[in-house]
Amino acid sequence: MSDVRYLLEHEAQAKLASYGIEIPRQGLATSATAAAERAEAIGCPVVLKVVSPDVPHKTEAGGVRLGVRSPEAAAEAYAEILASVRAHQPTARIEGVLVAEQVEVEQELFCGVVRDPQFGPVVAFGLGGIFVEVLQDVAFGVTPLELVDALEMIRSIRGHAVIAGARGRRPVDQDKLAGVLLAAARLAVEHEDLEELDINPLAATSDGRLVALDCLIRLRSS
Amino acid sequence: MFYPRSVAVVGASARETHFNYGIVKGLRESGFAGPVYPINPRLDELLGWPVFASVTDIPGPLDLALVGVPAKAVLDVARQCGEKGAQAMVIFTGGFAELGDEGAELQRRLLEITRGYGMRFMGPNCFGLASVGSRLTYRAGVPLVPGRGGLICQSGSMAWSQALLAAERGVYFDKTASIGNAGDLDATDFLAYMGQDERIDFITLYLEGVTDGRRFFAVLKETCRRKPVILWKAGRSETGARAAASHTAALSGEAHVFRAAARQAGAFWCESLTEQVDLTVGVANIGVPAGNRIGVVSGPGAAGVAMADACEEHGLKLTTLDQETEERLKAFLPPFATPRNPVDLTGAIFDDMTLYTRSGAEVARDPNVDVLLLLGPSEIEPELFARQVAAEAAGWAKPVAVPWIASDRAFAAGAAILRDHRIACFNEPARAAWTIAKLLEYGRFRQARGLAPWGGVSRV
Repeated sequence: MSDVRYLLEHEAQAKLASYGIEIPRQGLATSATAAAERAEAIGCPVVLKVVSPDVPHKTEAGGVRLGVRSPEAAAEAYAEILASVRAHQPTARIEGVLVAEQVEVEQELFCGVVRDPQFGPVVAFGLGGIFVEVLQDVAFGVTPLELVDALEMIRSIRGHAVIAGARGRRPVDQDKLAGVLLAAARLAVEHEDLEELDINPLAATSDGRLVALDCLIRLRSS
Repeated sequence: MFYPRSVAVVGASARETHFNYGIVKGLRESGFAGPVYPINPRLDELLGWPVFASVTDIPGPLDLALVGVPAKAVLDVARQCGEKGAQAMVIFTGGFAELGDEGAELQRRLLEITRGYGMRFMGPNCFGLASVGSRLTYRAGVPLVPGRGGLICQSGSMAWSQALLAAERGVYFDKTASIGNAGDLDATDFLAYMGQDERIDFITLYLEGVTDGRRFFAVLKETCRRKPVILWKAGRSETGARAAASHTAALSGEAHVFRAAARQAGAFWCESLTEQVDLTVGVANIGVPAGNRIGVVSGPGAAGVAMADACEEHGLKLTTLDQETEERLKAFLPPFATPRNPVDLTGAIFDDMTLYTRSGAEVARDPNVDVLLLLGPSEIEPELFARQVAAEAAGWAKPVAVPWIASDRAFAAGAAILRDHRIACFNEPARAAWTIAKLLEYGRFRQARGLAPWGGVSRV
C-alpha cells in the first residue's frame, strides 16, 4: 500500500465542500482557547476530533469527543484529546483538533466512488449501517453520470422506501441527494489520481440537509 | 466483412466431420453468390468447387478469407491474404491468447501483419460470421432467414445455439458475429457497427468480458438509444485484485458494476440463456407496450391463476375491462364462463375453440388494455388454437403474447405455427410476465431520457 495515501479528514472535507457537498460547520483549533472560540462560533453541541496523519483510528486513540456542550467543555476536551493521543501514540504528529458542529442525524446514507479497472470511476450509493454492511443494498453508477441516472440509482435500492419517508420519517430530498452523487462523480472524474472516495455516513439531518459527516479519500501517489 | 464479393476457405477439408468442411458445405448450401475458393494443397475439388493450393493461386480478387489452418501457419496465410488484397479475415483456429503468453505473442504479431496491410480480422478462436444479405454462413444448418436482429457472441457455439433457439421461436438475425479472442475487432466494434446498421432493429449480445470498459459503455449507451440491446454477460471472475479499504470497494465486484453499467446504458440485462432468448423474442415479437395494463383470455384455469400471480409479481396490472367489453363478451360466452378480466373460457373451449379469438378481439380493442395475453389451451388441440389465433391476431391493434402451461409437445406444436406469424409464445406464464416487465422498463428508460418511443421491429 506504499503507492497510495489518504487525505487528512479536513482536507478531504474541504475537497467535498469545493464540489458543493455540504460538510459540518467546523474549524481547526491548535490551542484550548481556540477550541473554545470555535465551539462558540459554531454553536454547541460540538464534536472534537484529533487531526493527525499518523492516527487513522481516532476513536481507539481517544482522539474523539462527541456531544461537547459548551465552549469551556470544548477547551477541556481539547486538552484531554491531546493527552490521550500522546499517551496512545507518543510519536504521532498532531496538527490540531477539529471542532465541528454535532449534526442531528435523521437517516444515515453513504455515497462512495471507486475506480473500477474496466469502467473507471464508479459511484456507489446506499443507506448506511446494516443496509450496506449486511444487506449489501447498494446501487452503482458508472461515469459519466447524468441526473436521470443518479435518480434511478437512488430509486433502485431495496431500502428506497426508507428515504422516501416510510413510517413517518422525514423524506430525504432525492434531487438534492442526486446532486451529491453527481458531485462525487465529478470529483472523481476530475481527479485522475483518486482511487477511492467514501462518504460514510452521509447524514440526512432532521432539518433537511445532507451533510458529509465522515469522508475518506484515497489517492494514488505518482 | 459482412458483404464480401468473394470468399476463400483456407484449410478447407474434405473430411465430413471436420470443422472446415462444415464451412465449405455451409457456403455451398446457403447459395453465396460470389466465387468461393477452397484452399488446400492436397485437394483438387471440393463440393463442386476447384481447390487452390494457396491464397496466392486464387485467379480473381479476394475480399474475405475464412482461415482454419493451425495457429503457427496463420501468420503466413495473413501475409498472403494481405498481398492478395483481401480486406478481412475470419480466423477460426485456436492456439492464441487463450493459451497464455506464447499464444498472446502470436496473436500480437498477427495483428501487426494485418494492420500493415490495412486488413481487419474476426477471432481468432471463433466460429466467424453469418450474413443473410450475402448468403454467408459459418456452418451448414445455421438459419439464413431474413430477420431484423443482430447477434454478437463471444462464444461461437453459443452463437449457433442462440440462432437456433431464436429461430425455433420465429426470430432471425440478419448478421451474426462470433468474436472469440477479439484479437482485432472486438464486441464493441460489432456493437457500434450493428448499432448503425439500418437492417438491424435489435441486438442480442453475449459476452464474457470486454477489453475497454469505458469505450464499451459509451458505445452501448449510444446504441441503446437507437435500438434495444439484449445483453447476457456471463463469467463473474474478478478482473483484478482490489484493495477493499472501504465498503464501496468491497461491494463493487465486477458483476455488480457490469450490471450497473449495462442498466445505466439502457441495455436489457439477462442472467441466463433462457432469459436472453425470451427477451430476444419479446423485443422482436411483442415490442414495447404502451403501458402495463394486461388483458387475459384463458382456457385452462390453472394457467389463468399462474398468470395472475406472475403479473402481480412483475408489476403488471390485470386491468378492469370496460363495461361495454364485458357486455359484448357476455353476449357470446357460455353462462359458466367469466366475462371479466381474466376472461376464463373454461372447458367450453373443448366444444368451441373460436371462443379464444372472439374474446381476444374484444379484449384487444378495450381502451383499458395495453397487452393481450392469450393463455394457450394446454393439451387441447394446440394446432387448432394456434391456427385460429395466427389468422386473427394481425388484425388486433395491441401487442399479443401467448403464454402456456403445457407439455413440451403441445407447446411446440402450437408455437411452431404462431412463430411464423410473429406471435411470441412462452411455455410458462412467469416468463411472459418477466419479459413484458422488462420491455416496459426499456420504454420507461427512453421516456425518462426524453427519447422517442422505440419504433419496434420492421417487417421483413
